[in-house]
Parts: sequence; C-alpha cells; structure tokens
Amino acid sequence: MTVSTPPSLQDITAFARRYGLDNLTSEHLARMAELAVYVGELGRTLPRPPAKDNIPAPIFDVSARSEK
Amino acid sequence: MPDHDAPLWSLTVTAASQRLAAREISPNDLVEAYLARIAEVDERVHSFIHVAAERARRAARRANDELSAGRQTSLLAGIPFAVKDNYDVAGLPATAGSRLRLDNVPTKDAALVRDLEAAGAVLMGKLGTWEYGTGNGGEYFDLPFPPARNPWDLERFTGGSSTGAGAGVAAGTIAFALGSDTTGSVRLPAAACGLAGMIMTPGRLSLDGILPNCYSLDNPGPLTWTVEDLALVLDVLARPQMSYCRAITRPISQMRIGVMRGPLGRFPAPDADMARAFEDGTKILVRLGARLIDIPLPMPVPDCFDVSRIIGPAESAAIHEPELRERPGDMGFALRDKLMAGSLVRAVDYIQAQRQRRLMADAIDAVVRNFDAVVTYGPLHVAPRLGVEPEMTAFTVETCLTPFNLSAHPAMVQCTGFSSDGLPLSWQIIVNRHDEVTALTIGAAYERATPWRDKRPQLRGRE
Repeated sequence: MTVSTPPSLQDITAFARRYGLDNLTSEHLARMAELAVYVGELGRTLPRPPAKDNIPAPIFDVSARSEK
Repeated sequence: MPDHDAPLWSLTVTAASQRLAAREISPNDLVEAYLARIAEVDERVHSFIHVAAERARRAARRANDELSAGRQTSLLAGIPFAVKDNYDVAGLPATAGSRLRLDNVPTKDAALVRDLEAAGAVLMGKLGTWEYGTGNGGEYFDLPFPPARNPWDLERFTGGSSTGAGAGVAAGTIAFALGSDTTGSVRLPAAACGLAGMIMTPGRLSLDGILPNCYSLDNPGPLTWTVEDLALVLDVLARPQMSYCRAITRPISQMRIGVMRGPLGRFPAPDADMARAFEDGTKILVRLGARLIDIPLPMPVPDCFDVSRIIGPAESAAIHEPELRERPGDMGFALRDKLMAGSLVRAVDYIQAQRQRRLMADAIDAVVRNFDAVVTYGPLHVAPRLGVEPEMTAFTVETCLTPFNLSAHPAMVQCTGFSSDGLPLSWQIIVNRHDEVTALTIGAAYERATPWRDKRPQLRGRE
C-alpha cells in the first residue's frame, strides 16, 4: 500500500481478522481502512528521539497510585 | 456579603458550608433545592444520567444528624455532589455513557467517592459523559443518553468528555462535580461552561474505581463554580499538609509568573475575545504584584497533541479490546473510531511516542521550574455549536491543555470573563509538580479581583 492510499477492503479485513476483530461490519472496515492512512502518517512523521538512551516516559509506574 | 435571598442551588460550596455550620440551612434543604433545580431545568440541560434522589435524601438525613449533634465531619459535610458516569458507585448504574454498560452496577465505590462520602458530602447521582470518557471532538447523537448542553447557550457544547459535570455545576443542578481528564476532559468543560477545573500532579488523586481510558495519562479532577470551592474540595480529596483553603488567601505579590502564549504552530490564533481576556488577566496579575515574564513552550503545542494522538488511541484499544472484538456495533461512532485507530498503531510508534513524551516532559519541566507558575491559554475557542462538526473538533483539538498532561504538571482552568456573545472565556494556570496550592492561590487572587463569579447562566436557547 502507498502512503496516501487506504488499504483495500480485502487487506483491512484480513488485518482485522488476524487480530480477532471479527465483528466489524464492512462499513466499519471501510472506515478502518481510511484510519490506516491517518494512523500510518502519524507514526511515520512523529519525530524520533536523538539518542538510544532516550527512554520512554515511566508509563506503568504504579507506585504513586493509592491503595486498591 | 452573602446574599441570603439567593436560591440555595446557586450558593458556592464555601457559602453553603458556612451556612450549614451556622445551622442557617440543613443538608436536607440543600438536597431538596438541587432536586427541585434538576426537575426545573435538567430536561433541557441533560447534566444527569441518573439521579439518586432517595439515596441522597438518606445521606442528607445522616449529615443532618451529625450537624445537629454538633459534629461537622468536614467542610463538605452536607454538600451535594455528583460524579461523571465513569466513576463506580456501589449499587448505582455505571454506564460510562455507553450502550455497552447499561447493565453495569458496581459493588464498590470509586476511592474518591468513598472519600467524599466519608467526609459527609452527599452524592446526588451520575453525570453525563462522552462514551467511555473519551471522544474525538464530534457529537454524533448516537449514544443512549442525550448530550449535555451548555447552560450559557443551550445550542452549544459543554466541552468533553466530562460533559454533565460542566453542565451541572454551571446550571446549578449540582454544587460540585468530579470528572476525569486524559488530554483535557476536566478542563475543557470547565472552560466552556465558565467554571474552575483542575488536575493535580498525577497520582495525588486516586483513579481506583474510574473506568480507564488511557493508563499513562488519565487523571481525575473536580469542577466547581469558584477556585475557592476547588480548594475546599481538594482539601478533602488530597489532604494537603496545610489547608488549601487557608493558604489561598495569601497575596501573590513577588510571585514570578511565566506567560506562555505558544508557539501555536499549525493551530490558529485564539479567538479575539479569548486573547483580550488573557491579556487583561495578565494586567490584573501585575496589579496584584506578580512579576510576569514572557516565555515560549519549548515546542509547538500541536507537537504535543500529535504525541497524544498515538498514545491515547493505542492504550484505549488495549483497554477496551474485548468490546471492539465482541460488540463494535453497540458503540457510538467516536469510541469505535478511536479503538479502530488504536488497533492500527504499531508498537514501535507507541514506544516512540512515549520516548518523545519524556523529552517533552523534561523540556516543559525545565521551563516551569523557573517560575512559581505559568499562565497559558486553555482552549483557543469559545464553546462551539453542538453538532457543528468543524467547530466542535476545533474546540476540542486546538487547545494548550495536552502539553501538561504529557508533562504531568498540575493544571487549573478558570473563567476570565465573557465573549461578546456572552460565552465564557478562560485561561490555564500551570504550576510545579506537587505545588497545586500556588495555582489555587493565583486563581483565587484573580477571582477576588474580578467580577466574573457574580454572573450565572440564564439557560438561553431551546425553550
């Protein structure tokens, strides 16, 4: 698939099935194909940190959360 | 001087608390006043999803007994509040505004609900929300509950996702409310509805019992009519070493405040009225003795938004994967769209976004550390017309809110006046992590110096 062309309905259906999204209708899948272009663009254009030791934000640090 | 002829629903939390302590009014009076107000206006405002009238009456009687015995559990004893419907309350439906959860009745209270009730506050029910506390800015009229409407103009949007919280506090159907914020969902409705709304340093307020939307960004927060009320509510919820209520009477002279107008990058300039109110606000801070210094955000604001557009959908898709697999047709368009988008995010890009987030957070923190506080725009626009897609999306997206979710700084939005159309204007006050009291102090000083809290919405439109 090219950068600006959505995947075909067949391709996006195969993607969805591969990941267990079996109940999406053809209308949902057509929308998902449009979203694939937008999401791909977002990921591709996101600036990359300059150094390999630029580590991620501590996203799953639960130490500050209060008691369950 | 307090206006003793004012309807009880229009009292601030602070004024109601004082009158309860003085035994001029009772918790029962307050609950009945809010129930009457809900009956009077909520068919037009739609702030509540579920009103727990009898539960509230019982709680009010208990609070009444305590006060009659000379025991005031806290300054919130007997004060009615409500929570966004993504908070759990034992025995009450917790739908999160979704067809998927219409039958969901938790058996345990969210921690913040538990804390408020232990302090004697009276839960009145559950408030409207965008489905699952998330959305893309649009309103598609495809959820099981009608969307809340902005009390300043009922044809306009409240801001999301804590829609009912914004509508309810502004309309006077509730004294204060709890919402939740991932990239603006407390501060957007606070701004659009002319309220004060705040998120604290992440982790200071518990997320226990709130339906997750994005593990790494979710943050709960209160919405109130005044900053003084915020301080009172946060005194109970955050239990600071020194009472916020007492601290916020301090002068702000000698404070060093950064003024951050951007850079706004590809976002448009703020509405002219919003910009005017922002500049007028800075002059008031100078008059109050603060020292103001212009500073830019270390990166264009939209760059932060772009990072959140990867993190948010990816995490939501992970959290709500069972629903997307099993019942996508029962979701509204906005939630399904977000979960499908999140399912398409590559793991590599998610990690890159979290790496970028850390760089942004460090850079923003390095700037904020030079100041007692930083004032920025909140949203760049006034409340949009409900259902007018481009306006709705612009209002939700084009803001200066997201950078401070990414950077984990306390952030408070407050009303800075009204547009020529009578719609609320706002700004945002950012402070160093764990220094919430400074935001409250500056906000309260600004509030005391301006007349904006004297004007209540008239619920115009949609008679």
